[in-house]
Amino acid sequence: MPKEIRMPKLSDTMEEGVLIAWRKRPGDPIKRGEILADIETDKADMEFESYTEGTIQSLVIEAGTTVPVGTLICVIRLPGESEEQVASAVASAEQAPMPAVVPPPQQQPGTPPATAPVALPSTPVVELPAPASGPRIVVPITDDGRIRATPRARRIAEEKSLDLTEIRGGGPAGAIVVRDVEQYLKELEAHESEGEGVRATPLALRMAGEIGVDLELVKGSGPGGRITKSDLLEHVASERKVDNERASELFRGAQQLSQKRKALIRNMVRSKAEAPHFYVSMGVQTDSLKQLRDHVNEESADRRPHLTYTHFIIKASALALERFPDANATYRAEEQQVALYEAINIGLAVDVQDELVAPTVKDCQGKSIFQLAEDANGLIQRARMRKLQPRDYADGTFTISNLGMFGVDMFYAIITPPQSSILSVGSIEQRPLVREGEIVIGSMTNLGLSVDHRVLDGVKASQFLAEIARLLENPEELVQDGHSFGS
Amino acid sequence: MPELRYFEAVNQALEEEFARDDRVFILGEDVGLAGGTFRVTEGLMAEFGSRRVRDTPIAEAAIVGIAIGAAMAGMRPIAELMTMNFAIVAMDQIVNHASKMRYMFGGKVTLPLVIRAPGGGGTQKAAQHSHCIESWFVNTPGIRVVIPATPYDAKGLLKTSIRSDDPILFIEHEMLYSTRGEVPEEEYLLPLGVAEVKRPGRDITIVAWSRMALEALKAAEMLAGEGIEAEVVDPRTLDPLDMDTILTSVARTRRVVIAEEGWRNVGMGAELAARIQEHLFYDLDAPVQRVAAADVPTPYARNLERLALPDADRIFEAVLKVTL
Amino acid sequence: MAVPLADQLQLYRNMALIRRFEEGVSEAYAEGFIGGFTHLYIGQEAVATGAISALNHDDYVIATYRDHAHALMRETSARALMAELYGRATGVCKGKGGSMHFHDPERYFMGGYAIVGGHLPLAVGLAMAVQMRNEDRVVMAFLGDGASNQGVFHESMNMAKLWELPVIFLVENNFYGIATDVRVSSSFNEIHRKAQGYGMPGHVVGGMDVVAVREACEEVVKYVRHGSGPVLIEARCYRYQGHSMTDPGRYRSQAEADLWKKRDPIPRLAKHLIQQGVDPARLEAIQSEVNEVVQDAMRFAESSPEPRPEALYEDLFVESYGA
Repeated sequence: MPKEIRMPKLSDTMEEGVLIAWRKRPGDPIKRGEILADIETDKADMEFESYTEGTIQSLVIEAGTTVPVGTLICVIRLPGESEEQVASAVASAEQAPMPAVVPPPQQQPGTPPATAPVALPSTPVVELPAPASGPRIVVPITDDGRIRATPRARRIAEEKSLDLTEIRGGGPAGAIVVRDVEQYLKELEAHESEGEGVRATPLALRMAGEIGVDLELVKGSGPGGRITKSDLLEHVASERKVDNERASELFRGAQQLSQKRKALIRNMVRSKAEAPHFYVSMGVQTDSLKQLRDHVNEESADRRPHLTYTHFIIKASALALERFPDANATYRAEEQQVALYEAINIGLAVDVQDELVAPTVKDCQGKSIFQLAEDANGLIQRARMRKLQPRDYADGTFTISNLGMFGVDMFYAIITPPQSSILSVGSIEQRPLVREGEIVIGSMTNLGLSVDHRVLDGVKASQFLAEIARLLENPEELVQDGHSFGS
Repeated sequence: MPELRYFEAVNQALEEEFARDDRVFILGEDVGLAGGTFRVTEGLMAEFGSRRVRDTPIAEAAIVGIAIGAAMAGMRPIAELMTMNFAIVAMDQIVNHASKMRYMFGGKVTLPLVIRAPGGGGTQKAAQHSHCIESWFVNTPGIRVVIPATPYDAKGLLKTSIRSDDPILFIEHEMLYSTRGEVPEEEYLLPLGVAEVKRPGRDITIVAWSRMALEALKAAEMLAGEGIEAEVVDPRTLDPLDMDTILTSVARTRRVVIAEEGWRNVGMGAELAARIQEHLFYDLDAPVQRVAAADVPTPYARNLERLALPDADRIFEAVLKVTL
Repeated sequence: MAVPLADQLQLYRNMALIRRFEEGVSEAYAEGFIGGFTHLYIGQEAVATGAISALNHDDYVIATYRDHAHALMRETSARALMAELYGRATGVCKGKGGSMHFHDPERYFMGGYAIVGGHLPLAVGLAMAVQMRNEDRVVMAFLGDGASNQGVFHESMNMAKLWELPVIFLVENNFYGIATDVRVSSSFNEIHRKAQGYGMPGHVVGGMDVVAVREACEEVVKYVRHGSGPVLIEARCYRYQGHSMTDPGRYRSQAEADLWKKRDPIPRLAKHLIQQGVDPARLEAIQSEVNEVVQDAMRFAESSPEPRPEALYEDLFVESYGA
């Protein structure tokens, strides 16, 4: 192979050189170190020495010409090569691209950089499913959903009815530049010449296969009525929109919750999550209770408050709590302690216009049933009028919940944290009962006790509930303390 | 109009000012007999003699210091540093003496001094010979920084700098010396502190100086091909700085890219970005962009150097980032 | 050449003025009127006095940060200098420079520089200007022993001799670069003999004897003014205080200090003058006179206004274009 001599870079800032004069002619021999030519650089006139030994085959440029550094200026035939060999080699060499030893070529406008760009800030991208063949397409989309394309690229795409989402962006951060649009047009032309049944862009064809869409159903808006990727996506979206509309007919609306409701929900969740609930229940025969109640109310109709079953239950619970002080307790999770209380404060779950409040009768210990009744009545009245103060429902140690008025015969309420148990009272019903081996008809109610196992175990809870039940079945105790009866 | 190469324009400016005022003289390495390593002082020694075109030993601190001393005594010296890299060797004289003396002596000293040097890299000169440090001197109060990008700017600004009574750092660029441009035959001077809109445009402002001004113009051509019209503003002097022209442009285009060859971190671009947002915060449609050198010592390998130093492609990318 | 009696009396007066001035500065510094760095010349008075007295009034003098004496010798008023030290607008540099940056070009005192050796190329530049204009002037550059090790000292010496410039490098060798004895900082501590390395004449003189300094400098100045090229002259002296107001000078032994105190140039000259027949009362009168000058300067400084806030941005650039 003959030696190609190119315009040398004789100074660090030299970009072109003037060939002042040749010192050799074609056919002349040349040795290493001999001067080949005089060259003017940007700094000075220099003598250009040959590193090659051989014969001058040809001088490619004329004396006085200015050429960029790296341009072919001379060919030297090496010892042993013939002229003809070299002539053909030179012809093909002249068509070959310039070797890499030359300084960086000037960039054409619009050419993406030859080296990978330094880390650019990330742009949000939408990744499409990789088509069966071909590279993954990354479409750069701005925050407001536009595709990043230069104005002229956009204009050309619009003029030619091209779908921007189909064009591979070769500009910075995947932006679509003019060259990318031109490239895409070429691809379309090539594709068209291959011929297709349904006219769709190559990408749309691929995608339809992937997603499983029948192209016959899709409207095309691309060049020449072709179906583009956008058309495809729009078709899919509109199908989905139809489904969504049907689903929305079942929907009636969303309800906003009040702060109180939200708080209640929070408490319920917390109670169930933190307190390990277990449940004990007992049936209570209520005939004696009814009898006593009627008697007391009749006797003291004008002087004292009218007693209800609820009042008896409050009193029974209060007495039971006095006798089972371990049940008058709360669980302190942080300190991992059970806190015991002197005061017996019983909360009554009251439903006031779908707000659940529990006004609390304070210091039930040592209060007669009449006193408890008065307190309870006052609280419930205030609750109904929505005039409860925070102290009215604070510091409860036990709660009673009654759904009997709705015909519920049995239920278990959720403990009000931080209390340790809650009594659920069902309706009083006539039932067949067994008394002294005989089936008789009597009145009964079911008591359910939800218990926090951290505070009470099964035995204690059962004993506690049994005491309440016993008191209700032997209600005379409930009306003693300061009241004297007749028989 | 005749076309001159940058180094020829500088040479002409020197010749004209030497002829005009015999207090003007130059000292530096290889400026006399060799005509300057970049041919800038070619022919001056022959015309004006060896006292006014003085070859010195390699002693940059003394070169600058001597110029300062001579300026104190009423001469109008030009100290040539072979490259801006050697300004670092003379830092004490430039920063502790030239820029401070007038102020610390209560205005009693006038230093009509020009320190000339080419800055910048891009020709594989590696870390110690590729500095683009004009920001250091803009940061230092008391010295002017003039940094022309074209032969026309270079000649007009050098003449003014020589006539100025203040100390001036006149920064050229090795890769600009052989660039060509039209230079009038008649005498002309360019004022300090006046920027030039080298290319008008409505979509975005590119502020760039020295070699980057030419890269910005290249980028502007590439952008025009994409339908984006960029306005290129060359401040020409970084101190005094013509902020008005820059702000007027950005107020209109609402987007700006600053292109500099110096390091990005704490560079001149950072100062310009701060000033632009101070004045035009509510008028900007996108954050101010900076294109600058990677914060590394300039590497030798050609591909790494190309990655490290900014060019038209980087400017193009930055513009696309905020216009698309 | 013998120094005439009248000149000797002037030398005495100037040394006394410098001494008294520096003592006043010390007092003012302690009282908080003067801040930052202040370097006193006490003990070295003979050097600046003798040397500068050998110059013409329009020869350039350029000095280090220990420049109070040199400015006084160039006849800048004590008032202007004290006011500068007090940071007042009436100071010689409008309060912008301070102790280390006195500058009085009208009196050819070209400053006061804080970078060790940094002013030496400036001295060479002044001399280059003198030479280019064929002026009948010399440049006297004062420097310390420490500066003779700075790179830029070497550059300046080289270029001064290369071009045969009219500059006198006067080394005030007080044997300490702040706290470092010259013997442990210089590979070769006969400073005047370093001049040989540049082909330059080097002289040494006892810097505690003002008459000796004056006589030696007269010779040197004549040589340089003649155009024979630069000269280095080393004056061996001693500073009685620390390097600066904030340096207590504990790196020197009491014995050494006492030895040098015995050679105090002022009483030494006084003795010499009396020997020559001068009335001691005359010397006392001189002391009173300089004392009053310094007191007046301090009163002036204290009653002077501070610089206006607008002065912050003034004098940065002149923004004019030479004719």
